Amino acid sequence: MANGQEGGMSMREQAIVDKILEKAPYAEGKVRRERRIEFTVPAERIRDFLTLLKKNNFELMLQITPVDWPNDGEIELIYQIWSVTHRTHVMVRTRIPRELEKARMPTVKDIYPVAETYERDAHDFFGVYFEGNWKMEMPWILDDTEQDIYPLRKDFDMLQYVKKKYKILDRFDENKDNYVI
Amino acid sequence: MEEIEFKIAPESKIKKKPSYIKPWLGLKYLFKKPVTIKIPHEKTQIAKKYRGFHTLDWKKCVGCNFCGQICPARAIEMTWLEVDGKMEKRPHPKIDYGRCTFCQFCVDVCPTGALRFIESFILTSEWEEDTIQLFDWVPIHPEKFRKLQESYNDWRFPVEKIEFNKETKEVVYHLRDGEVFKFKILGYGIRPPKKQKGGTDSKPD
Amino acid sequence: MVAQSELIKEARENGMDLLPLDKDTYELFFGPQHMATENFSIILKMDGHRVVEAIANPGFLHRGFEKLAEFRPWHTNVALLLRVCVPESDVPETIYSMAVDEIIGWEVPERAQWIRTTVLEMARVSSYLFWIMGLSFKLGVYTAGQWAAAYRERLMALFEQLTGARVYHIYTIPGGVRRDIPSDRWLHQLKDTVEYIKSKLPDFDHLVFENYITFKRMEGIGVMNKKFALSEGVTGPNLRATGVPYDVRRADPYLLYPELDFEVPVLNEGDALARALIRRFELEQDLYILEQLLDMGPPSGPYQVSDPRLKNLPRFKVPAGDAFSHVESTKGDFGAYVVSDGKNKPYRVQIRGPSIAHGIRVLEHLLVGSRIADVPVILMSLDNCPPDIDR
Repeated sequence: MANGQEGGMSMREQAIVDKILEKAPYAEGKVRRERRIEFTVPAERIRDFLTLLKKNNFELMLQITPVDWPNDGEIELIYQIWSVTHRTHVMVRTRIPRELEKARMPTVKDIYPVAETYERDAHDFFGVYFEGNWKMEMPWILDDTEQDIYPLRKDFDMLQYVKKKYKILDRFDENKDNYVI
Repeated sequence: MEEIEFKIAPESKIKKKPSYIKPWLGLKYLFKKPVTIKIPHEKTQIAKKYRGFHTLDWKKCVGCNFCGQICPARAIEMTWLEVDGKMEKRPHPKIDYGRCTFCQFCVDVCPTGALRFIESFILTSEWEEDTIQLFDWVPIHPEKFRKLQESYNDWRFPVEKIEFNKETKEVVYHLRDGEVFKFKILGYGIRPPKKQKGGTDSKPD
Repeated sequence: MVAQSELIKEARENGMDLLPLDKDTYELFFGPQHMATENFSIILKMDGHRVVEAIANPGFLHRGFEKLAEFRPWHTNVALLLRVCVPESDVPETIYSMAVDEIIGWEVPERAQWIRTTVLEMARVSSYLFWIMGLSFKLGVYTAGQWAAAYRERLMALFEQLTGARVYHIYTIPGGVRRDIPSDRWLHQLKDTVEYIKSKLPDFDHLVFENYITFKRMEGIGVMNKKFALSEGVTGPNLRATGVPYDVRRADPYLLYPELDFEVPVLNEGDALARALIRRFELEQDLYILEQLLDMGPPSGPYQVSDPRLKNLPRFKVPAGDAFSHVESTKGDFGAYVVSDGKNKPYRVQIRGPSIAHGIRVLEHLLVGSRIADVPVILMSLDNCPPDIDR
């Protein structure tokens, strides 16, 4: 874990967390270290929470990071936002089920317009559908033939896919324990 | 460290004024020598420890496969070799320059310092089957490589031609100074090959 | 309304290889072969020579780094992830290494920090020179571009001596750097190079930044305001050109930057010219930073953390955890988010390139209404780098 500097250094961050949590009792928050804070929010309140953050001068959305946790049956979505005013990076974590029909989130593109791009990215690689983002169906990075395979999910069999796509794999035995493509 | 009030540059320093005359000042370079290096007539300087081709001290190599595991491009494959009718006790790395990214992590992890690198970096071939074999080799001894590099001094690959017999798995290196170096590939992988089969347990291409 | 097939026929007869949409507009595929777009494509809907609508079409450089990184040992990923940003490959190396350092809790030795900072600044200078090359080609001032390429060559030679490679250095690794500074001579050479490039800056001013052609081509083109830029996630020089003093080196200091003195340029115009001038000023500041670093001199000590586990790199394990780190690249805020689950390979690596914000929605917005000749200029003023969109 991060070597958090508790005490005087992170007072400023703690004050921000307290201020946000006061208005959003449904969230959990903590200071990771200097200039790094994180919140955990239930998926259905994400729009409320991001609206609150935007009002509190968290201006720049840097990225939406999906992380697949197949053992928990969940996909974690991390909204990474930077505040130019507070000089703090905030991660807003939320978890949604990873089954394709249930992996749905409300879009936040009206709060952070740039999220539209990140949501397209998350949809292409992880199969998270963002309701309300009309660009969801537009082609993004992957080709038409690669749609609906969601390659960055953990259960995507890359070896099998490469074999199918490129016919000749290479000269290595498959039974090697440490196979790398 | 917290809250450094940083300096903002004044606009007057950043902004420029358009000029009709100043662009012509570039003309002064007409009377200067070009910076271009004229390659066949001039030599480029290659930095010491430039990450080029590999060299391998076959005596030192213990066949631990660290290089094969760390390789990000999976360019290294452990190969069991036979030189002059005697099987090498440990497998040696065979490097595929079609895949190699020249990151030299393999050299960093080599516990005995058997696998090293040299500054030579030029390897070209025509699109013919037998020249492509050049890109897949078990490196030669560092001293031999350095001697060849010093005598030619053109940063080229030290082997002119590699003959590979697909049936007998015999490999012949034709070095640039006319020397011939022969060995036989018995098999691939970390475990030693079974003797009876004669090393056909893996497809070479 | 005329049928589309007839329009196409008419276009073909007149020797035009384009796709008319209706009588007034036609569709134009800009890139991925076009030099200005750098393997990135924009579908433009044109009315005469004006852009009516632009749709960014990325994906030509997708190599799946984020997935591939999940299959490789921790250190090896450096050789892979640096390909996300071609002109300054040290940035992805450093952010990945910084994130891994943070997860492990490594305190990087001072000497390694000095080298990392120097390498990052050298990369910034060389990237800005590369950008001047691109910009001057797009403006038609080819001479300055050739100069920039020639001066960049000097930095590449220094990189070659330091790291052993010219473009993809594979130098910064978790825990420090891979090699020590070769000799004191290298430091002198770097000093000479910095001075040399500094002495050549007025030439670039004369030919590019004070040239009336530049002003004619770039002034008032691709204007964005502060509010738009912030909401669209614009960072780096593009954001500073709209009046927001945000620089990661100051806002979230890393490595030796708290000890260094430099000025952050901010302009309020938000047009292509402002972005270009900000970059021009930052090049000067980077050279100044390099001078300070050289005056400071590399601290003595090790250039890597000493850890017995580093002897066995392929099986080197990183404790479970996650970290986000970011640095200021010439293109903007470059970040990496790394998750570890305690194995010898990362669980998830995500690289956040600044161009994912600049190159899609911002570009689509800025291109509307511009002339076709300005499309390369706007692209270049945003310093769009498609590899970090596609990854």
